[in-house]
Amino acid sequence: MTVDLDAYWHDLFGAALLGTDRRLPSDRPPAPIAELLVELPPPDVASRLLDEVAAAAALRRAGVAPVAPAAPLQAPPADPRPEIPPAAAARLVHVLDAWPVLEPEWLRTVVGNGWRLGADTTVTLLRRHRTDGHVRPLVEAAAGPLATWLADHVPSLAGGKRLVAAPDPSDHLAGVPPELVAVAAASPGEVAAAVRARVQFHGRSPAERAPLVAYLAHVPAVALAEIAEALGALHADAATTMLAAYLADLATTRNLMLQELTMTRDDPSTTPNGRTAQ
Amino acid sequence: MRDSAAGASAPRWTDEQVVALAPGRIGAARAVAEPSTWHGLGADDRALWGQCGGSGREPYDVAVDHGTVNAQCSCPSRQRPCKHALALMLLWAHGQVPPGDRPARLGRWLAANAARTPLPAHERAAAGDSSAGAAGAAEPGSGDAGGGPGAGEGDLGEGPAAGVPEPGDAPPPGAERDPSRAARVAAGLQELDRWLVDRMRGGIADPALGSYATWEAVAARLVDAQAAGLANRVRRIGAAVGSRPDWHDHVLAELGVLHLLARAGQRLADLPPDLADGVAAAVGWQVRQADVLANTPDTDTWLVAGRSDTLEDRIVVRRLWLHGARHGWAMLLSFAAFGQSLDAWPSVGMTLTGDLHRYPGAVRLRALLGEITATTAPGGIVVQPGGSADPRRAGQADPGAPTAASAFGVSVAEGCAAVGAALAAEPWLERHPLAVRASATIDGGRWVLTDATGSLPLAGAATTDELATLLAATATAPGVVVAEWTPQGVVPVAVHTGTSSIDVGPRGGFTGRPWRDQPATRGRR
Repeated sequence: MTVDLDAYWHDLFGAALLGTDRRLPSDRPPAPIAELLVELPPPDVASRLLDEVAAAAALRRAGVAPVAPAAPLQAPPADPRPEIPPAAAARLVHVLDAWPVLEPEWLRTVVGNGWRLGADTTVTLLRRHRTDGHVRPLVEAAAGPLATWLADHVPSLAGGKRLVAAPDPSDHLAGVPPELVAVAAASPGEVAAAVRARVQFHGRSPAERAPLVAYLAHVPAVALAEIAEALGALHADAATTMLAAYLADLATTRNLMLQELTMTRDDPSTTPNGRTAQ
Repeated sequence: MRDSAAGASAPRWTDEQVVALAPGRIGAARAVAEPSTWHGLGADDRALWGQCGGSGREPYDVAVDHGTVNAQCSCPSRQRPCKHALALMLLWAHGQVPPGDRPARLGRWLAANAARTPLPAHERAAAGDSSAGAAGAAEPGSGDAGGGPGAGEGDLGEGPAAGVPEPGDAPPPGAERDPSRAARVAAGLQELDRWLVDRMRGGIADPALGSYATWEAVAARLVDAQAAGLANRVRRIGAAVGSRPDWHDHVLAELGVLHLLARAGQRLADLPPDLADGVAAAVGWQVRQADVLANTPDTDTWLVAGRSDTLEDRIVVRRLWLHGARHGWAMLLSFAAFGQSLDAWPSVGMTLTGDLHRYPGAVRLRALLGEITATTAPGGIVVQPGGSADPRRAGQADPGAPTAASAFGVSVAEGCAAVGAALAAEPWLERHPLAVRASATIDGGRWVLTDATGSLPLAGAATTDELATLLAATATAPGVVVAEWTPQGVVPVAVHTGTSSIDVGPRGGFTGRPWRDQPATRGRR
């Protein structure tokens, strides 16, 4: 015998909503329920209702069933690019948290080297740059067709009114000491020495931080390793040493970030599908 | 945030962290956090101590173990932490407790705390400890197999009022129990049942049920009756009132389940052993960790399939869902006071080879980590105990490690059947995992997981980033979606594709940042 549990539950719900003082439940529960309760003669109608509610609730839960299949969403156009390596995705977490100044370069490198963003990275960056006129296009390029597809189905990820304009290309030179500007194209050793000297002799000034960050975020990548090493070896007063460590992390992060996105599918350390063995 | 206290080598708590322990008593604590009323103050890398009291009154000896988060005080208050312990912590947070030499009398207490709160398995492995006394990730001795904080020894909260069982182990059901406690529990269950019958008589449309105070009063009575598991359950029902348009329907079903537990809890001796164990755990009987660890473990390679964090009465509860190819599902529970950090290990996508010891019950989901012989980080690199990578496999994926997509994942219909079977055994379960090879789609304006055999409605808002990540991950091909069945709907917690495992589980507002701004944790393969 089949029991329409939903109809039975609806009847119990009506009785329970109003209370047995106002409305009595049906005289007899369906046979399967009655069999469950046969050994539990209740003392009063409210107790009987409670017993039936308990039995029906248990049966409804045990009978959890799916509803009818739904039509799947039309998939986005295929993107043949490999997904960014896991190391690069992990690096991005640090970049977003500590060095957002590197984010545009990270995205340009993703696009330029033929990678595409993963699902979670796409969502994070679309959310982060809804109204950024400079970075949003980079995110959309890196995410590929998935970006538009996601925005169609999750409106809160769609681009908003672009409130942030692209920065002036020469902005990163604002406030940078002339001696650093002069050696920007010099050998890595000369650049590293100049940066070290600047930090060593001027590191106690809080005004030094911002222009040095901007400088290191745009200096030729080939100099980053030596810069990080030079700054890491600098030991002076507490403020200067802290600034040196801070900037060394920036140089190291940028260096590793670019290395991780430069690996190709022909690189023996890169596994199929762009995965990198850790 | 923590910073270094002047003179104390351990990271010092902040005022906010102390407040998070017991917000309801912090006002009284601040009233006694006056340095002039304290003497003998001291702190080291593990403990704080001092005496609180003015002239003409016997001072109270107060001590706090800030390593394992325990407190002791000679005051007559039954609540822990008491206002004196909180005041001591506030003084410490504000740099007013100088470093000192720890009194000898605290040594045994600190050692006992440490023994009750063992290191996580990976730290023991890193320390080269492969003893059988492993106790897994730091978990309080809770018998709550179905969820909820039910925190035991060593956990600070609001004391009994928050449903935290009193310190001290209870013997497992079926064994001899403290007759006085058994009588109190039975009386509490009878009283609960009478209250439930009265609700049927008066109707659940009664406006009094719309007030949280009504539910809190019932919960408080259950706490007094030492049925903390049911007390927590009642609070969760109260929190659901008004949360959705059909809340009456949900509340009625939950009242029915309470009735089941109230009746069954009074007849434990008449029930089959496994069922009795499950009922006892749901009511609030604790099971000793040592007893759990003494059980025969299930040895398998366990995939960390999903994670969810929920905030329950100012306690963050983390559920880690593990899946073993031979032994199926298991759950690791961990707790933290709101604002404190939970252990980040293990993370979604990892595999652990070793033992799990299960708590007793009919469904036996909850478990403790036993001896772990190997872990595989996302990416497939085998890590030997001690933390070093196997040099024979450096830089290479372990071909023996199961991929998420190949290890598990069934149809939607099969997943529902498995959940239904578990609920038939324990209808009071509030969460059960399932792993389905499905994709997310929209059906009638609501998000569902779907495949050819059916659809499962998703709980929660349709525009959260976790849902968007799920959508993106399954956009081009169905992945294995791990989700929690709950009475309110299915909550996705992870997506496993052929190349990655993405943690999309809820974070319960844990970090204080807006939930939708949380990036999904990356557990890449």
